[in-house]
Amino acid sequence: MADEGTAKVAKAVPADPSQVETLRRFDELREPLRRYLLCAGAGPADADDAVQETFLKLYRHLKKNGDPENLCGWVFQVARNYLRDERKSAQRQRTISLEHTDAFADPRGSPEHRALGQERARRLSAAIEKLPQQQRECMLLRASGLRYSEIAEILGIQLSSVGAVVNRATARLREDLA
Amino acid sequence: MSDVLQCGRVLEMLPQWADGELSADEESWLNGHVGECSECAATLAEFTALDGQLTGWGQLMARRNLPSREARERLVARLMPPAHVWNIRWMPAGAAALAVAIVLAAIVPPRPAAIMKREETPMVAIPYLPPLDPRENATIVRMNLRVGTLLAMGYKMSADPDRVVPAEVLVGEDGRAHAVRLVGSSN
Repeated sequence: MADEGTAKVAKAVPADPSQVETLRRFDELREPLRRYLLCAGAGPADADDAVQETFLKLYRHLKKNGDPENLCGWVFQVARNYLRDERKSAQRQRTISLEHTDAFADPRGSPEHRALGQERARRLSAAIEKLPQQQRECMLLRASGLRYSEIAEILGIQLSSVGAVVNRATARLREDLA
Repeated sequence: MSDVLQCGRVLEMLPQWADGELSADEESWLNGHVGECSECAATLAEFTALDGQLTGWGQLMARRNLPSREARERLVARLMPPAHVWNIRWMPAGAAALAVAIVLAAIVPPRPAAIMKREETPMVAIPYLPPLDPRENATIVRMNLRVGTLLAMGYKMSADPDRVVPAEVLVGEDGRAHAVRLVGSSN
């Protein structure tokens, strides 16, 4: 007599592995990716769109048996490209600027506290924007909440080299924020 | 080890130190060196300050711009293949059949209401679950559901999300709801 449990498994509809992997990555990376995009200057709506489109692309990438190496880095690269392409529209650029300025205000503090926080964040953001690409990416990825070992993987460098990248960025930021 | 090499080692250790990933021995060595080397102490202080600013900035941005709760459901729905794609070649035939049906409905007298079959709305598949296997023994369970729950399942309707409506839910062998439809006068 066939085991009931086995029969049930045999009848189950097989899950799409690409879909399962995409959703697993979404649960893992959605929040840091969103923070990264917000810190890189995206408005909340644009950040949400970029996250959606990025994971749809990831699904298609996995479906076509794309390279499974460093998918975390792949995801941030695709999101960054999406944001860059969206910014080409002059209208959208204006929208981002307005939303970005507003986003610095922490609604929980006093007006004075909010204004100070807003000013500090604005200066930090402007200074990071002027850094060389690798240093800028490193700063944005750290702001997104990733560990340095994950940042090293995304940037494709040794963990021991990340300290030197941060140190160079710190020196530049010190001059800029002085 | 020369001072230059030791200071270089500090630089290499900073990322792991910030994430609390150094071994006890490494941490002890780092603290010892930083206690003696004012340059590395300054580097460590600057690194810590910047790291705190970056983390705080990211948290502030995330708090100020909360993600939409439906983002995952939206992605799941977009990952599912379309349930049915109309084939444009059959549209003229479909339109002709519909026209004939309308004409027949107009000329054939309706049956008495007592023997009419109860009107049923079609089941709406819940998009983020795999469809049922045709051989699966599914069960229909009648229950009262919040409109908000139905909307989250992908059911299209306009009503107060807190309203409770009677519905029939298609439950698969795995115990999960796979499709839903409204019943009675709640449509």
